[in-house]
Amino acid sequence: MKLTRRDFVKSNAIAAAASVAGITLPAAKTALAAEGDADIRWDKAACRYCGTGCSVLIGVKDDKVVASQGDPDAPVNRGLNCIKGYFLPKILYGQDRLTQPLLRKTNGQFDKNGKFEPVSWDEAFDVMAEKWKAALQKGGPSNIGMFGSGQWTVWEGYAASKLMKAGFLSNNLDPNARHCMASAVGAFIRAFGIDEPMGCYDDLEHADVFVLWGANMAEMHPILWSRLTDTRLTKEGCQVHVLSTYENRCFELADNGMVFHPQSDLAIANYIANYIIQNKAYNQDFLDKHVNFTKTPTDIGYGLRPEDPREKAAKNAGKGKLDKITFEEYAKSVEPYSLEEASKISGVPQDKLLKLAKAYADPNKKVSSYWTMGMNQHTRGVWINGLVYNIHLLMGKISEPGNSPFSLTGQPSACGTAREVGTFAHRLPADLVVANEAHRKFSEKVWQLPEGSLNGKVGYHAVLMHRMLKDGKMNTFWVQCNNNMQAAANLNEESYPGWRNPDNFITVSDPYPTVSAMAADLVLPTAMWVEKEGAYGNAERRTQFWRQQVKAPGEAKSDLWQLMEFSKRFKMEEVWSAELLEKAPQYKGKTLYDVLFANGVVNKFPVEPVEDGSGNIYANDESEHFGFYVQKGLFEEYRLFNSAPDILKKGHEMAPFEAYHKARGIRWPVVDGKETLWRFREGYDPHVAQGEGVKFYGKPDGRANIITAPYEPAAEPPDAEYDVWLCTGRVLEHWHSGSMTRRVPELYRAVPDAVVFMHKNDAKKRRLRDGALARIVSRRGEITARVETRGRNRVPEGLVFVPWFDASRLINKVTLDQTDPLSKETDYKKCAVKILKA
Amino acid sequence: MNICSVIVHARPEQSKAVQARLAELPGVEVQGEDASGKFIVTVEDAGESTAADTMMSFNSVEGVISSTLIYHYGGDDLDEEVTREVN
Repeated sequence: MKLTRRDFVKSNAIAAAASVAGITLPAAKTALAAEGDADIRWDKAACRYCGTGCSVLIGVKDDKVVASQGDPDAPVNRGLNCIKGYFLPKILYGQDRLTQPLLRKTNGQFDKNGKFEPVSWDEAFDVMAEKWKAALQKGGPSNIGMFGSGQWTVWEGYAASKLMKAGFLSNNLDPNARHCMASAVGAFIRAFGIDEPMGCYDDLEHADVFVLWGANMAEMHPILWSRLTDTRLTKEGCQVHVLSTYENRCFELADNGMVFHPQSDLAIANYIANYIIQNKAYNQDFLDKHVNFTKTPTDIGYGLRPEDPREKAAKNAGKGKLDKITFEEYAKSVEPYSLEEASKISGVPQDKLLKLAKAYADPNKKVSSYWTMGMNQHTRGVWINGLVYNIHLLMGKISEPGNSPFSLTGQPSACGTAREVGTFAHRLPADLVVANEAHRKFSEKVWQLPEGSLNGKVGYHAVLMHRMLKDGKMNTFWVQCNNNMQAAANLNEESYPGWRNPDNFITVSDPYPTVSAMAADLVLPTAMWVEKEGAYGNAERRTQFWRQQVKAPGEAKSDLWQLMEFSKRFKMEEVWSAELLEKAPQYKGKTLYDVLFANGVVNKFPVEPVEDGSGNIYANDESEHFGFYVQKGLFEEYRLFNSAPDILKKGHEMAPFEAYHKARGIRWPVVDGKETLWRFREGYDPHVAQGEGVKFYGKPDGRANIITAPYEPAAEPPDAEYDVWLCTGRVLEHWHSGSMTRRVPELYRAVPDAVVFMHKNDAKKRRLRDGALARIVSRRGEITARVETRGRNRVPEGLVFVPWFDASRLINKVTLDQTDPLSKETDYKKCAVKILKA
Repeated sequence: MNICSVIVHARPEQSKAVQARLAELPGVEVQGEDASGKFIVTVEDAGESTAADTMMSFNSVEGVISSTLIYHYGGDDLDEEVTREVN
């Protein structure tokens, strides 16, 4: 019988599904699979999309990714894959993939108003370096800036952090994770003194009660949702509570679905705490041993420009210093949040709120809480994260299987890269911060810098960067691995005028001509995902590696190659003062590349063949180019911050480089080769000694902070003219700004355009029919979109939802650049708009 | 050309009916099931509908609780003859 590849592929497809589902099939259906795939090389990789961190098997044939399947050996997804993961191979092969650097030119010269022309890497970096040198001369290190990503690999983020902070001595480095995780980080540091969740995904099987605080897991974290669904359907008494400002797909599984008014989550969380105290349900022993009570300053403004009247009116704009209080004072602070009051503020019926409070207060129920952007993109984001920790701490329901407050992430390495290697404007690697002298000293030692060289002043955060570009105070800006022109709020008044300011030179590195790339002066083509060796860290502290699977197209180069190659263009004399260089005379005449990357540590490991367990050999383009094992050198230097004997903050230990190429990810802290599932609890966390029980060792006294904070209104509530709330967010089929998913024809066809989800009564009032074109207008700008009153998102009257993936309908022309004054994270969920007939 | 495999969940008493509904879609074949209502289908491109278009329509089919993709092949060489050494 003649057999085609279809026969083999189909047999493999059936066998893979049967094995994951645990279904036994007739041998004939899977017989060909047993013979293996014809000519396909399979290897593991972490998925390119969300923060879940699924592992996928990537099938390569003739240097092209042709197949993918959920990795059956992966603890995160256990062979499952969601629709986005499924289309992973296609994101590499979009028709408009960039393969050459592009520079705006007129008559052969750079011209900010010129048209893009292809140039060589040499010309691209020549022009760019000249602009950076001019900016440094004009305004010093604060005049340059870089905007990175939670989609950078671990070593790309580390190299960027080192280049900006140790090389250029500038802290103007911030990641797009500022837009998504900064509030979560702020709350972790305030409550626990150390970043990232104490629990892990195993809680999804251990919990009796799940509470979603605004997170639409069904669409944004489908694999975690399928694990949660399994538990709900198979465990007796299991409950799912869903809180959101509109009904989404999670409500279909909800035992208690609650739609609350925007911003009133603050009141709901305080009511639950009040209920626990009034009913004396709190865990007295836990509170006595492991908790401090504190309060935070109130009336702190909205992170707008200082001249905004709302900032001028705020009594404690931007303040967050905690003061100790007693339990009684704490109890009194939440007393106003009675069931009646919470129901009045939130619009949620009393019986539903009571049901939720009872679930948290039941000592026999294990509760896991999940949240993402709803709580983080919030002008009181640090507060609301903290208020949920308060509930878990009051009950002692934390740091053990099933009892888990868990902050989910939206990007594949928001944790592993953005948060852990020091890419925030205030951070250094491994939870160290620039403002702390001891932390700077330690970093100077690791990086072989003269004492006093690191900059102690916090750099510009994401939103401030666009303001500084507009004001001409930052003249060069390099954006890698994200689409910030589309992503940042208030495009019309801040982002666009900042980027197109004639004094500024903007570089964007991207695989595709995104809105950001097209708004830049220089575009650098980027090798993406499995076109390079990589590492991501997911939301449960799991670090995962992959090998380079295929070559990048044309002249596209990885962000890592770009960062390191660019550093060769700078002599130390051009970036450091003579005085500083006098303290390190051995660096005279050297380049930034010599000092940062050819420093005897990063270039310590020779190029070696990258091999998997089956004898396949993989390329490593960066190592071949630079002449040493670049990824290993950077990772091992990074480990001097988190795993060496003299580190300043324990609890972040990682395994040696090689271990990760073998494992399906390992969760830090890794001590004596063992990963950690639940932190701060004896028996699970190696840093908690026998007899200590629970120890929040991120804090000097080992105690976590309960931090009281009240309900305060949003910055721009609807009024008579701008009469509805606008909430923005994502949809299942597209990931973030759509740079990748909009290039997959099937996904584009399924959800081609962003629509405005609105209530049918609101539509009727404005004489808008389903499918009609509407204008969404705010004080800052407007877009048009078709009305959707019956879709998957069912919004209440008085609120509309618009996804932000659509580059042809930039909803960030409409949004307000308000931030949490503590975390500087933008609130994309609440501003006032009016809806008109187009 | 695309070939996919998908695990579909339905309530046990409705599983047969749901399988029949899905089998009517272009390029869909039911490959096996278990007693809990779970079953496996393969999906292939068929005329104008790619496998992905078909799969994304599963969630609107009556009785489908969830459908999860497992395997995807997207190479353009499915009709090539494969010769294997016979041991």
